[in-house]
Amino acid sequence: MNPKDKTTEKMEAFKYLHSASVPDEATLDAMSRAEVEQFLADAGCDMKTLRARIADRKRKFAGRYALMLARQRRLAGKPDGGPEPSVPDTKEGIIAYFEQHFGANLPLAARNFKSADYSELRRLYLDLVGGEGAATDGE
Amino acid sequence: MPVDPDALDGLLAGRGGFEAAYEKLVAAAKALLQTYGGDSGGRALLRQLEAADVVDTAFDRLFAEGFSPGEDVYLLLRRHIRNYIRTVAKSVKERQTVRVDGDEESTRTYLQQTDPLEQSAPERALIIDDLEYCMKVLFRLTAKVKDDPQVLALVSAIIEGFRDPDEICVVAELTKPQYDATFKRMKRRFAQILAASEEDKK
Repeated sequence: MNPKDKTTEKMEAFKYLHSASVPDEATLDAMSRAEVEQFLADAGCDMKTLRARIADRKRKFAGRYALMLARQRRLAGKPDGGPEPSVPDTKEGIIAYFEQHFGANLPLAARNFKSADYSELRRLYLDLVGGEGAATDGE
Repeated sequence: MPVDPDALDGLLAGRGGFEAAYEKLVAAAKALLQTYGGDSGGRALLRQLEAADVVDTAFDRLFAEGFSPGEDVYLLLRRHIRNYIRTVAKSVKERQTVRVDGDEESTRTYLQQTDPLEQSAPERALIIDDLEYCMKVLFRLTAKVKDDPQVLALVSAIIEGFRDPDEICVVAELTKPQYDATFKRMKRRFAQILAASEEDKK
């Protein structure tokens, strides 16, 4: 066996080991959560950091999901069927409501919503809380 | 309506809730990055990406584009991940050589580099680099598994060209149950060494 054949054999062995060790989608689907975590740990993931990240993303994406649903309701022109929400009659009232119910997860927090005027805040409130009176113009 | 973080658990209930689904998606992204990552163009960019960042990009796209009720959100996210990684892998093309003068030397180089049967200089360098990388990983693997004679025997048999489990059992002197357990251990050791080697390449 010449050296080139030996090299080719080693490349093929590498490819075989690689495909055996890196799971495809079907294999991943069949894996339990413990097996997935084991794979991630073996692949160099710091599970403690990942879990902290997941908790953070769960809050963040919940806000994005609520906004997506609000947008879909508005585009469909359909209120969610609930009673008309009572809109706080001051800017401070809406801000207090947002802070109480959304905390740091409000999708609009990044847009400095506190500096918006009452009519804008009222529209945001109705978009997020639902009910008639929600804005129908573009975002 | 107020934001309910548990709503995401309902969305991914079929996959054990948000946490379990997110971990599985990170694993899927990691596997795709390991498969598509390389040394040239967009494939080299993939080596710089973190699997969890790719998953976040998929969630961003999911909520930006929306989805219909009843759609399997997990499969949708996985498709976004796959498409994103494939797009990045194809995003940067290799530099093309174009002949701009009548010089004999440049003509020869041009013909050599554009001959579809001839490997261009970058391609040759890439193959050599890949080869070095493969050899390095195999060398590391055989060095690291010396503490586990069964895994070492299994790896040696695979390097020798054996693939059939029955043949490997004979060559590595393993029973079938031993082979199964050893193969599992070998996969873990290889994945660990692969991850460490990829970190070195970043």
